[in-house]
Amino acid sequence: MENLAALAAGFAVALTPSNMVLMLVGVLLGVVIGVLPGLGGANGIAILLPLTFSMEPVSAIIMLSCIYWGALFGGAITSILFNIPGEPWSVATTFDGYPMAQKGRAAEALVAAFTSSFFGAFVAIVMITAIAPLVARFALRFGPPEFFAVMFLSFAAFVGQGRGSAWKTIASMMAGFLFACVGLDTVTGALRLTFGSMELMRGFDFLVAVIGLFGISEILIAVEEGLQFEGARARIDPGVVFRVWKELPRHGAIALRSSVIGCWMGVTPAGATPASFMSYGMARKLSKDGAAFGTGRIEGVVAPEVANNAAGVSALLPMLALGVPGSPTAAVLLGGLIMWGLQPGPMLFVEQKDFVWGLIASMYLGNVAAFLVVLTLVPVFAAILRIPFAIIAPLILIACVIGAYTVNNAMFDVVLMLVFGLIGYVMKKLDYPLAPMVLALVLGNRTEQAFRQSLLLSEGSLWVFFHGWLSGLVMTAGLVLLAWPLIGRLTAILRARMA
Amino acid sequence: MSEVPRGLRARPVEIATALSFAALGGVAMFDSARIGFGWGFDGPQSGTFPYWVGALLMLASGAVLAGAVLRRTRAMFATNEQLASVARVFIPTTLSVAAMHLVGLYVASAGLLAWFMIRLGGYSWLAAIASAVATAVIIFVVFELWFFVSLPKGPLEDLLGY
Repeated sequence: MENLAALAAGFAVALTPSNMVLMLVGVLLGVVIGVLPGLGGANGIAILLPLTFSMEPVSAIIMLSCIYWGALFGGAITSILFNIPGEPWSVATTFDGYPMAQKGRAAEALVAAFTSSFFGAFVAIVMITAIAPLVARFALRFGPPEFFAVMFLSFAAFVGQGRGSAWKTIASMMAGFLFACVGLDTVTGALRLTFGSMELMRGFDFLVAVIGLFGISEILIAVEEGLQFEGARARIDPGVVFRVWKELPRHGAIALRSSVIGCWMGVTPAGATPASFMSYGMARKLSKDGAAFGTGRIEGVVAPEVANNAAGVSALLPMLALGVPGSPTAAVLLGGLIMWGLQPGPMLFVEQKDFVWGLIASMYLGNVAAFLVVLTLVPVFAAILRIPFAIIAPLILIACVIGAYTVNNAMFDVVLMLVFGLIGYVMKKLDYPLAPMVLALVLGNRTEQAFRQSLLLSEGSLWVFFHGWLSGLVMTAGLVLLAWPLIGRLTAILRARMA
Repeated sequence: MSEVPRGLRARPVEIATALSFAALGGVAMFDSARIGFGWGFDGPQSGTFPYWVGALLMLASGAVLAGAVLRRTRAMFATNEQLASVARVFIPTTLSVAAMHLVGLYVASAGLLAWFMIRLGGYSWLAAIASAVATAVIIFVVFELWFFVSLPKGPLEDLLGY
């Protein structure tokens, strides 16, 4: 009940005319960002973040989070119409979405995708409304060992639930931690990894890294794959909408299962992309005619879209309640909190009630707005991809340059962004996951701080992390996740022996 | 037999990347050892965390390296054609960033857009330059006038009185 009262107050914050306008602007920008290759939720928001410094924090986060919702919806448009995933989390949507479009059922696929996205997002928001305050209240009692344990679990989840090589995940993550260490150590005042360079003293700003890693590298990959955007055309008329809505309840079980997968993968920072693959795979495995997946089944659109939106939205839960973001985009939003002068973590629910509940209320409104916007404006957004690449690519590059510059008004950051762009390009081509690097870069300092404070408490004994039952439990869960790829391999070997 | 496209193979790139990561880990360990990674009088020394992170990075990239060395594949990193396309975008961008130090962001951005439109898009000079100027003006209005964000400027802006 207490939550509902707080939520009502939040709606009062979110429903002011200026915030409603920002919401709509955010959603529109977000869908555009979601449609364009090279601009995604994380780097799109990173580029726009410096423009929000003069805004009220709650207005700023409403606009930026709405960009995120728009991007989550928009990714599906290009996946279905062009077979080009606008976002990594819509890759699985291309498997059945594009074949549907080729058979002339593009409009149906789009309606199914949008409705599923909305369903997934809605489930996740309800979950956040119900659980986030409890998690935050619980986390108020956390000491440094518990916080370190939570971060350890988050990072272990990347290894345990990642899809590629576990070693590459670890390498990417550790490189991120090292980048976070560069510069002045605020505890002792020592200079670390700067090698006498003045510019490195400031350290690497993760926003700059995000813009390079996700923006520049994405453009380079898009260039490489050739630039012919050949797509189906689609207009959505009300008849199609109602026909699809009549059909969708039959796939309710898939939607529910996918939203559970999505929420879980979003809260643990495995993220939207693996969530969409996992729920697609699950839907195929559990379906009676799984072999028909990939030829244009509507379930093949429902499953990944429900999961990726559920994951994308629920990634905000740990960000709000614990200050540990569940996705790169949530990490950028967290960076925003710090810049607007808010202290992320459980105290947010106590000290900044208006901010937190205004944001949660805006999530309901923003997702409704995003849903309506994509349903009505699909042809407009699809037209964006028909702008010749020779125009759109330099514009995106210029946006990245301006974004990187405005973070600290430093030219050095622009150079750094290009370097990160190349690093990101090579890493993507070699299947190194980028999300662990970004999250390590964002959380590096706080992880280290929690680690140091814990060791201070115990005078150097690592057992401090297993002293309290809570941190011990979380650490153990983390260790299990960390060992998961190994366990998987061992069982596979054993099974092969038995057979 | 089908023709194999020429290009850069994945294996050497994989090896080089793993070596670079390992080197990064090594450098971090070296630098952390310099500032101390033991127990100081006031707790863990500054180098403790990066030292062990560097060690883990070396371990992980060592494992990736071993995998890449042992597994012989003929998989491609990118064909020559793909690399050329990437260079066609990356090199002008780098040059434009370098030019930004001298001429400011507006002129450099306009130049980048015009270059892309003429060289990659096949547009006429007139169309390209008109779009480039328009873009620079829009950026100016949005950033300097609406959001009061100052972007780097060069001699041209000085001449115009900004």
